[in-house]
Amino acid sequence: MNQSPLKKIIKIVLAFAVIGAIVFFGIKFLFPEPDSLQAYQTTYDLVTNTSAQNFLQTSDSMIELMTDNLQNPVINLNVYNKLKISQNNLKALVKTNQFLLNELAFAKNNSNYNTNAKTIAKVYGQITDKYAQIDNYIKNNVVDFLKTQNQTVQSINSYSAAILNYQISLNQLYVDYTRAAIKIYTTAMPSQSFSNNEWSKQLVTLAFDWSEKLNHYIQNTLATTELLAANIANSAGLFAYVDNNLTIAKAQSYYTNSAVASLLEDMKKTYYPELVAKVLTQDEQTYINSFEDQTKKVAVENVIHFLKGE
Amino acid sequence: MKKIVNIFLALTMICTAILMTACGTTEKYWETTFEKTTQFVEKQENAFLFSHTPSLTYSIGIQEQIDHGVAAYSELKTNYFALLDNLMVMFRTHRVNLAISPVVKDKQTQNLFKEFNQQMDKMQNSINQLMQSKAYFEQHVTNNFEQSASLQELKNYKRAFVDTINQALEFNKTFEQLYTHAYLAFPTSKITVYQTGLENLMATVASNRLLHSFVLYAFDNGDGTMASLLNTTAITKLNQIQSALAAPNYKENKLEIINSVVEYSQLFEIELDQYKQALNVVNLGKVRKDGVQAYLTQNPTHETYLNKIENFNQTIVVLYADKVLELIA
Repeated sequence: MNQSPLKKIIKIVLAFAVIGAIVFFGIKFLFPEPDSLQAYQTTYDLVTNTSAQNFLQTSDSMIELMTDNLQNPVINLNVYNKLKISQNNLKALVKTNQFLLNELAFAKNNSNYNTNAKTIAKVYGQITDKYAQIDNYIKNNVVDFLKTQNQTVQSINSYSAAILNYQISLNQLYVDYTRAAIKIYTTAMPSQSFSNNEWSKQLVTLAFDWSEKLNHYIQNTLATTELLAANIANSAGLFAYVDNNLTIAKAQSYYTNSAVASLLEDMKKTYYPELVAKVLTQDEQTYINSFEDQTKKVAVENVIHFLKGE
Repeated sequence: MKKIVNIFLALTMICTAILMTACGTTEKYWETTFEKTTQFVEKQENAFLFSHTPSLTYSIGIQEQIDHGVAAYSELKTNYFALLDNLMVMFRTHRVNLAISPVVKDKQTQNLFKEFNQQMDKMQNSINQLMQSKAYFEQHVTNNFEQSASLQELKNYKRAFVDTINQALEFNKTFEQLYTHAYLAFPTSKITVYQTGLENLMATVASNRLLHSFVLYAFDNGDGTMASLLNTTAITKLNQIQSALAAPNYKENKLEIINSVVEYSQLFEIELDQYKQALNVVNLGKVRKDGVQAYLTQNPTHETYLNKIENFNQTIVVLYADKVLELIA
């Protein structure tokens, strides 16, 4: 029986609508939007990860072993310096996420949240995969090695290089993770609260820019032994900065400490990546002197003093 | 043609009638509400809340326990009645304003008046029930005050008290919404022109917010009675605000301080919202019973929420109260 053209069109439209609805709900079912606690749960897992704690301890032991053998000309200074920087940076990134955790518990779903919650879930998956390899390596190789008496410098170099390789991968993954977590912290929270305010955002941003700069040296195979040696103190400085400043009490000091307001103004006049790079290369005085504008010069000077905890 | 004209005329009349109903009401709904508040305040059974010096006294034996500071009993005065009494401050202070025409007379104002009338009825019911519970309590606890049967009666009475406090919280919230919307919109952005009474309004609203947080915390222990109040610093701050409201000391640089309180009020609202979320997650009754460490061992992911509750009670409340005190003390 012949159908009228109108009926045919209606049937086709209906068929498309049904297919469209199936595809739409199928995608929703297969790829659900993250709930508002997912970023918190993931970050909680990250900062309490026992493999991470185990790895940091192992790295410390390896650094200690290398330090004890520093006088030996065979010790690989490049590995030693890089290992110290990456260890400090990794600890600073963990602390930064510990701070973010306080606020992520109260994040709100929006497009920024959804995108970045998915990113951190994906990166965290890569981090746990990496820790599975690391756990295996430490258990099968490093534990016994650390118990051995009178290890040779060559073997110390070799195991340290292996640990460093893991550090390099983890530093990059933690930087990627933290970037997305900070994005949630700065764009998916209530505009301002007593503990998430302009000041705390500046504190976090500064710490992260510093971490990213250090990560650049860690990832860069061309970084010289001298340049790395110069940055060990700076990586320790970053950890001290994060430890001292990324706290709820410090964030809330914005409302009780009048000095904070003027420092915040100084921070706003400062381009962090450039500033941090200068501090890292211990070239800050030349950088300060490069400003003709006296107000800007004083502002940059104040921020550098703050960075160095002076 | 005639039909069309008739239909058109009929429609016009219907529209006019609708418009008149919507806009042209002559009823002064605020006066009705004001009269209702007067009756409410003057009722004999409500005298303990609205007399010149509000207080709640008990039969001799119980009153002696309260006056001698026996903890379980004296709490009735120092915590339960004190909270209820404080929750009535805004209504007591500002209800007279309902006698005059509201500044904002929109649909929302009408709805808020209607809602407040309902809340007044609910509050009256709650007070009646509290008085019945009080009578029962006084009848059944006449001696052996420390015995478990007496203490159980005391607990039952305290539960009734909590119901009334929670009802008062709703009553107070509705009055605050009505008053701030209809008479003097509570400022939510930078103020450029000073209005008389703004400091008092803001301090009273702030005091309500603080009380709200006190009540949320105090009764969140799972058994329906009060577990503990916020820290003494927070209570002292609230009392300071209440005293300052009775004899305010206004400052010269009003707008500057007012605007900083506006900012703090917005921040406090966000913190209060997160505090409520944290209280919903954490089982405070269990924390109080098992201790923080044992609780966290079983619920490790709750640490952030516990920190939020702690920080709110210790720091946020004090920060906000101090800012409000700058306004009137």
